[in-house]
Parts: sequence; C-alpha cells; structure tokens
Amino acid sequence: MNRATTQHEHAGDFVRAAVADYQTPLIRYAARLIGDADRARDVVQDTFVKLMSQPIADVQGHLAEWLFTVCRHRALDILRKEGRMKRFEEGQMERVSTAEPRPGKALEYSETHEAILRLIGTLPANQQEVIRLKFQNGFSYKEISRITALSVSHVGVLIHHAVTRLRAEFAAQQP
Amino acid sequence: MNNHFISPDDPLLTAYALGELSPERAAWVEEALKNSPEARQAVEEIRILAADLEGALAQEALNDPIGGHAANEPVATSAAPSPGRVVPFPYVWVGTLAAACLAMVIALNGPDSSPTAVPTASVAQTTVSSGAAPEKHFVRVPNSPLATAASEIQQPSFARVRDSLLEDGRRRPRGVLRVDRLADASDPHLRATLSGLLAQQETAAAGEPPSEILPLPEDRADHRLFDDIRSKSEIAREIASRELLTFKINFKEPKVDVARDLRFSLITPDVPSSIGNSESMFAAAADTLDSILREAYGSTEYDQVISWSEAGKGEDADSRRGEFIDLVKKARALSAE
Repeated sequence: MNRATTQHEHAGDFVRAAVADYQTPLIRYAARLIGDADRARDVVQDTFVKLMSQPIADVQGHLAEWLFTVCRHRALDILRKEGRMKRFEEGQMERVSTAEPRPGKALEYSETHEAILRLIGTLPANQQEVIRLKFQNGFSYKEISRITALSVSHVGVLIHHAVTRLRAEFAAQQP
Repeated sequence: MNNHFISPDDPLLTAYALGELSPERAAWVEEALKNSPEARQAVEEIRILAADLEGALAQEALNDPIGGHAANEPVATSAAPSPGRVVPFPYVWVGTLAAACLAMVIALNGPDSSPTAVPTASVAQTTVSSGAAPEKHFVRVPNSPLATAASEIQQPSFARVRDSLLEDGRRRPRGVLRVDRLADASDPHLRATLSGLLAQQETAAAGEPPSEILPLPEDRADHRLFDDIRSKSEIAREIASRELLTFKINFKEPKVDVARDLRFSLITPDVPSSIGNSESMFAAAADTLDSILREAYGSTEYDQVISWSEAGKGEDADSRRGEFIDLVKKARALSAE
C-alpha cells in the first residue's frame, strides 16, 4: 500500500465520520432554510461532495462551522435562483414541512418544551436561525458569525433580543 | 462596592450568562453583578431559559422525522401538513422583493472576450461578491452557457425611471415600485423597452462619474429587508438621484460554488424623451393601479392611471388594454361612492 492510497483512505474515513456526525443536523438546518426536506438533502449531499474535495487540513478543527457555512451558502443559492426563475408558490413551505412527531413521541414532549418551541416559532426568522445554531447545534457567537456572515456583535444582539422576548413571553404564560 | 454597573437588558449580560465572554470581560461583568440584584436575577433566568432551550430543541430533533430517521432513509412527509413545525427563513422573499425576474441573455463566463460581447465600457459596473472566481468579460449565453444566470432590476432605481420618464419630475412615487409586477403587466414588451433603455443609456452615460452617496431615508422600512444582503451604503447609492436604474446579474459558473453578482448602474441626468413609450407608460399605469388598490396611493391617482393607460393603449389588438382602462374607471367610480 503506497502513501497516496493511505491518504485517500484516511480522507474517506474523515468524510464518512463527518457524514455520520453532521448529516442529520445539516439536513434539519437546510430544511428550515429552504422549507423542503428533499431538497435539503440535496444541499447537504452537495456540501459533503465539496468536503471530499477539500484538503483535510483546511477544515480540521472547524469542520462543523465549515459544513454549516457551505450548507447555508448552497441553500441560499437555491432560494435566490428559485426566487427569480420560478415564483414561490404560496403554501409550499407548509406542504413540505416535516410530519408530525411519530405516534407516542408526542407524549414525550414536556409542556415546557412544547411551549418553548411554540414561542421560538414566533420569533423573527433571523432570530430563529441564530437561536437554533446556538442552542440546537451548539455553536458559539463567533462561529455563528462566520456561518451567517453577520458580525459577532450582531449575532449577540439577535440572541439577546430573542432570549429577552422568550423570557418575557414564557413568564407571561406561567400560571 | 465597585463602580461597575450593567443594565439587566444589556446584551453583554446575555453573552455572559451564555459563557460567550472573554475572561477579562466576564470578570468585569461579575464585578458589575455585585452591584445589581436585577442583573443577577436576569443572569439566572437566562441560564434557566438556555437549559430549557437546549432541552426543547434537542427533544424536537429527536421527534423530528428529519433527525429521527436514519440518514439514508427518505424523509417522511405528511399528507396533512403541520404548519408551524417548520418555519423556513423567508430569504426567498428578500430576493423577490429585491428583484425583477427577467431572464437575461447576458452572462459571464469564458476565458476570453467573445466577438459578440455586450459593450459595457460606458456603464458603471460594480462587483458585489465574495466569490473567488476571476472577473470575466461579457459573452452571450448561447455561446457560453453557465450553470445559472439571472438578472434583476433594483426597485428604487426603477421607480426613478417612472419618475423621470412618465411624470417629468413632478412627483416622486411614495412607495417602491415592484418591478416584478411591472414585468407581469407588460412582459415581453417591458423587456424590449428595457433593452432599448440599456442600449440608449450605454451611449448617454459614457464618461459619467459614479453616483454620489446619499443618506438612507429612515422611513424606507422596505429597505431594511435587505440589510442582510446589502449594506446601507449600497442601498443609498442605488437611490442616489442620478442613478436611473440598476441591472443586477447573478451568475454561478458550473464548477464554482458561490454565486456572484454584478451590478450595472445606468447613470444619466438626461433621459431621452423617446424612451417613455407606450409600453412603459401602460406598465406604469398597471403598477400604479395596484398601489392604489393597496391604498398605498390616494384615490386621486385614478385619473393619472387612466391618463397613462390611455396614452399607452397603442393598437390594443386583443382589447385587453381597453378592458383595463374600463376597469380603472369602474374602480374610480367605486372609490368615489
């Protein structure tokens, strides 16, 4: 086995591990950007195809951030393209929404979590995005800044406003 | 007691509660917290909420079919949709608001300049992109197809076209013209009109200096929609008084990942009167009627719409423009009741 083959296999392992770790959260993220789970899968596939062409050293240490950034760019490219070439169909977002939780799973939701998820759904879109990147995907302000191309302070303000509103509205719902 | 103070509503406090501050800034906040029971309470609440958010979003992921299925399984889509479960970010509307959806025969690609290249020397041109692809000469799509190519006409600038061409500077429109509606109203004639505009302005704008930068009017709330994709200075440039209209061309080369934009600002103080032809006149009438019906304009504008649409009626081979004029007159009669 020569050196090139070893490196190739190493790269293959790296991508496989990345797919295992990040495919699902990336699809979820892309689906919320695009509103279409199937196309979100295409976006994520493109993202991993691009990862395969990257030298490992270029992405190691910030792989999650790199994947979300590329995924976001691709998703927005699709939206921009379709915004021009095909008028967005009313109601499409709802039709491609994910299904209800599987039977039995609904019971597992606590009332608190249900209430919080409902409140998150009332936030402005940009606040929802950063809230999910922060609390669902575990990114720091700085990483979210690089993914979304917003300044770190802008990210901080968006999260602060979202948290402030969630605190107030959640408190108002409490008996 | 120290002299550090922080408001319970300070974003710094949220960043502190979420562990986002550097050690130095965190130490400063901790000193400030000693002086403010309200701020300490806020930190406590933020941390509780953060834990709840993480729990709720983690649970959502477990119950979400996207996350709950194996990666290579098809995602279940419900016949009975679940509004509110997924709320996509509405970037598509930003794009729609910012753009008119006119297909262009102009695009970018190719290693060298084509003999059929569209002349651009007389047009102010700005690259607005972070893409790494080198800038190319203009070529025609049939000769050098790209992965994607689309064009836009910026709305504030096109509103100015209507000002200049149709109203002779007597009144500026109060709202921003939706060029996509205008395109619907007169396509494909509008496209021909704009092609004529481009050709004439390429000559007229030769040697013109760039537009001056004007402050962004605070009351133009619609512009704020574009904050994420365009800086205020860019927007201000677009609404500068000497910019007649702007074409934006968005393109993506087949092997390049990031789409790029090129913007052409057509700048001239002198608008040839011949440009205000019947097509653009009628298109403006149709758009203004839409604005009236949305109560963006006052009902007194009906007369203006009728005047424009009659002036732009032309041959009216299929009688549709005549029907439109009748419709406007009925709308005016109804509004007077």
